[in-house]
Parts: sequence; C-alpha cells; structure tokens
Amino acid sequence: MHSEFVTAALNPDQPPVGIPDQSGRFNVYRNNIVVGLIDALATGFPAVQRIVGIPFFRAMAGAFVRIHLPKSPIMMEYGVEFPQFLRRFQPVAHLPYLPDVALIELMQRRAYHAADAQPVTMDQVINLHSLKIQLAPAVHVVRSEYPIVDIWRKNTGAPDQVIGRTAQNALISRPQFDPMVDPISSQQIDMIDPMAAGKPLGVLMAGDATDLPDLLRLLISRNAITGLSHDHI
Amino acid sequence: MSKVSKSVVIASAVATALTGIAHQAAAQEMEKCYGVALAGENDCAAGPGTTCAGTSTVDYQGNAWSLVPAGTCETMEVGMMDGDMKRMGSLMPLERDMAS
Amino acid sequence: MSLPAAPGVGYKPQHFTDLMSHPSPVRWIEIHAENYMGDGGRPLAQLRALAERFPISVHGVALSLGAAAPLDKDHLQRLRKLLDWLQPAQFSEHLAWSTHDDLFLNDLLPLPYTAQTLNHVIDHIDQAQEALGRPLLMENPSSYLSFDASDMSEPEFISEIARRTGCGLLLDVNNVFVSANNLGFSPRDYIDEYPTEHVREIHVAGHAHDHDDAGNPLLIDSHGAPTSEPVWELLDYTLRQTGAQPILVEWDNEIPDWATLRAEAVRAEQALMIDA
Repeated sequence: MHSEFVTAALNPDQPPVGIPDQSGRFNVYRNNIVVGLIDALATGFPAVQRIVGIPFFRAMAGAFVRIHLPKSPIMMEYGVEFPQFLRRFQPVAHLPYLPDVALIELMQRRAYHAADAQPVTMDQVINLHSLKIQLAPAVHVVRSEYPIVDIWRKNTGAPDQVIGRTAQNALISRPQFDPMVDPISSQQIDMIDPMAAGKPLGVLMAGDATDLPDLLRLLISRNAITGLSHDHI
Repeated sequence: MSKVSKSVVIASAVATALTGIAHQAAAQEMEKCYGVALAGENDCAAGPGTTCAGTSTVDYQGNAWSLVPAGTCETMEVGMMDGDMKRMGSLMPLERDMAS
Repeated sequence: MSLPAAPGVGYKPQHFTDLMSHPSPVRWIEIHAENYMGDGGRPLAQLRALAERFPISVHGVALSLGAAAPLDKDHLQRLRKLLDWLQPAQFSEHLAWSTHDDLFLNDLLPLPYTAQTLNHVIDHIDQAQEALGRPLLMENPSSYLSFDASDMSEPEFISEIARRTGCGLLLDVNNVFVSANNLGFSPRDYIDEYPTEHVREIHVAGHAHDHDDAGNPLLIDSHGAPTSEPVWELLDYTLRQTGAQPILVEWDNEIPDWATLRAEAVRAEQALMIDA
C-alpha cells in the first residue's frame, strides 16, 4: 500500500490504488508533499527566489523536489543538492552566479544551527609564526567568480546595494545567533583551509600574506576564532 | 624584502589590526527573529486543497518548460564585460582581484 | 514537571519575547522535535530559556509510526538525545506515516485500518517507547479520504493501540471535525466511541474551507486560522468526557501576532472553566 501511495502521490498521472475515486481528494496529499517541499526551499533560498521571481522559482523547485526528495526527516537539512542542481538546470544557465548565491544561503542555514563555541579575545597575539587558530563550527566559505556577496545582499533586504566589478568570496560566520556574510579576497579564502587544517600562521605567511591582518581582524570581530595554540618547534 | 623582515611587517600589521577590537554585548540577540530561523521547519499542518503545484508536473527536459526567470535578474547589473559594455542579468566570470 | 490542565501554544520563535514577558493565560508550550535537532545556535538557546519557565510538550512529526519499514534508528536516537536533555513533560507522535524506503515525504500520510496495519503500528509504538525510555502519546490524524481495505473504525483502531501498547492519547479535536466533515460521520459519535480515558492532551487548530472536484466541501487541516466555532463546541463536548486537560492551540501557517494567538488561549481557558 505504501509504495503505490507514494508513486501516485508523486506522479499526478497515476491514479492511487486501493482508494475509491474520491473526486480528486487524493490531490490533497500530492499538494501536501510537493507544495510543502517547495515552501521549504522558498524559505531556505529567499535570495534565489527573488532573483528569478516567485513563479519561476516555484516551478523550478517543483522540478528539484521530484528529483531530490528529502532523505532526512529533519527539514532544516533539506536542499543540500539545490546549488548543484542549479548548475545543471538549463533554464538558469544564463545566470551563472545563481548556484553561488544558493550556496551562501545554504551555508548561512548551516551556520545558524551549528554548535555554539566560546570565542577567544586575543588581546595579545604572540609568537605569530607558531600560532595555530581554531575556527568556530559555524564558519563556512563560498568561492565565487562573481561579486557574489553584493548580489546576495541586493537580494536580501538591501535593494540599493551596488554590485561591484570584482569577484568576491564569502565568509559565513555566526557572532552569536545570527549568521553574517562578509566578502573576503582570494588570498584570504586560500588561508581558511590551511587554518582549519591546523597549520600555524608561519605557513600562511610563507606566501603573500598582505591580507592576513584584515582576515584575522574580521575573524575575531565575528567571534569566529574559538581556540589558539602553539606549534612547539 | 627578506623573509624575516616580511614576517615582522605582517606581525606588526596583525598587532595593529587587532588592537581595539571589542566584542559588543548582544543583549537583544535572543529576541530577534531572523529569516534563517524559518528555513526548512518541520510542522504538522496541511497545505492547499486539491488544485495546486502538486497536482501537475512541469517537464523541464522537453520543450514544455516555457518559463523565464522574471525577478531581479532582469534588472540587476552584475559586473561588466570587457570595456564598458554593460550587460544585464548575467555575465562571464569576472577577473579575480589578485593581489600583486 | 507535568502539563497543567490549562492552555498551551505551539511555540514559534516570533513569539519568544511576548511569551517570556506576558504569557498569561498560556501555561505551557509545545515544540516540534525535529526543529530542535541542530547542534546549537538560537533555537536551542531559546528552548533552554523557555524550559526554565514553562512545562514543555515535545511533539514529533517525522517518526513515521505507520510506515511499512522499521523505524529509523538514527531518528530515534536523535529524539532520545533531545528528550533526555530537555526532560519534557510529555512526548507525542502521530498515527500516520511520512517515510518510505529512504525517502522522507514531509507529510502525515493516512493508513487503512486493518489487523495488519494495527500490528505494524503497535510494534512501532512498542519499539519507540522502548528506545525513548518513556511512554508516548499518539495523535489521531485528519483525513481527506478513506481506504477500501479499512475494516475498523478509527476510534476502534486507536482503542486497540492504547490497550496493547499502554501509550497515552493526544486527541486533536480539529482533526476529528475535519475528518468527520470530509468522510461524512458525526464528530460527536466519534468522541463517544473514542477511548477518552487515555487522553493526556488535546489539540485545537484552525482549518481551511475548500472543495473537491465534485464540488463537495472539503476541510483542510491548515493550522492557519482561528479555531472555528463548531470545533470549540466539539471541544466543550469532549471535555465533558475527558475532564480538564492540557489544551494546545496549534497555529503553524500565517503565524498571527501574539494578541491573536493569546485570544485563542483565552478561549481555551474559558472552555476549561465551564467544563472542568
């Protein structure tokens, strides 16, 4: 019974089995499932929805839903595949920045639910070379070839945001409960991975490190550093 | 610049950058209701009745997909192409802002 | 802390400040378990603050007690972790299914009422009560259609479940009213047949009016409007049989401001004063 029910629920052309013709009432379940999931995507990706408009978004989300039904019963985790889906979805191929906007929204949601952590204050930074930095669980980055933070801001409550000419990467963090999205440079985003992997700052300073002070300043002001240790040489 | 003197410069830049960072107390934090809070919630309510998005499918692989995006992408200027030619909505990847 | 026989509301983050500063007559809250399964952040911080102030009822919406397949062990574990941490007054789930194979369908789907499905649900409730280390309450569904295969009434089916698993019951009066209208039975007969001695919590909510393809009225369990007058009347009728109960106002869509939600709670309080 369950299999037939699911098949009929997801395929409007297929009549339900074992349920007498009840004047289209089975459609209530079709709607509950599909519309409920589309609504979940709309709440999870508001900037994407604003960029493409509501009717288009809902039709596109309907296509996504039928390919990617949730695997987890926890709806806050739904839509992980959406950015990747957008990369391959032909009708938005002319909006190549769209998947990166979706990634920011996804990472923002992850940051919102990430574990709490105690930030360091770093009044004294000593022995910079051997210093290792621990990042908060809420920290995420999104690489982009587009002015992605500007685009995201313009579509999330800052309609007057001017969209710049340079590519931006996004740093997502959570100072307390509200996720923040900040632009960071290519050099800075390249420092995040080694930092997260526990490399001492000396390694990061081996190359061009002119953007390091600003990155550290940003990370500290966003409560994104939760531990300091030293590499004993 | 030698390797050692370069790292001295960076270290002092870091020290300068880090002075005076104060953590603002976030007294109102608990009360705010942020959009992300509503992203993907579980509930036990039912949606619309018998006619809606669940009752038909839109085939996006065939020719049946006729919708075009019509949100801010229509008017949003995203970067510029070579020269001064402005394009609307979508563009080629931008040059990276590489530090020299 | 047990739930008082008083009004409660389904908690929404929008209402945090109002609820903490002037909750009366609301004396307890209900949360949806799955929305508090993240690792941290505001949801859990708010819940911690609320738990110091109010008895809490945890309402699961995704355990899928009516599924054909075995219960999801990971999900049971997550639930156990939440319940052990929060120590709520009670935990409830639905007579419904929402998972199939490895898919989650995000809706409470209906079951035919047969000996076979009865055994399934009973096994799953036994297993859940064991894994969670506490009894659960099971809620009656709202229905839009019936199955050819059903050979038991819903109250009969629920009575058997309560008798054989020892679980308590959460009686959703709006669901009874919605199903009665959609399937054409008397809601009062349903309450008369229902094993009211096992009820530990009552839900009321608003529904929406729609029509099926034949033009017949169809009620949708939308939780997006005030509780309707006939549902308040059915509540009065129900309370005369169950005695005073914790009454939850559920409002999940088109979330109203606190004053509107509070007015619903005032109405529930009046029902308790008259009937209890």
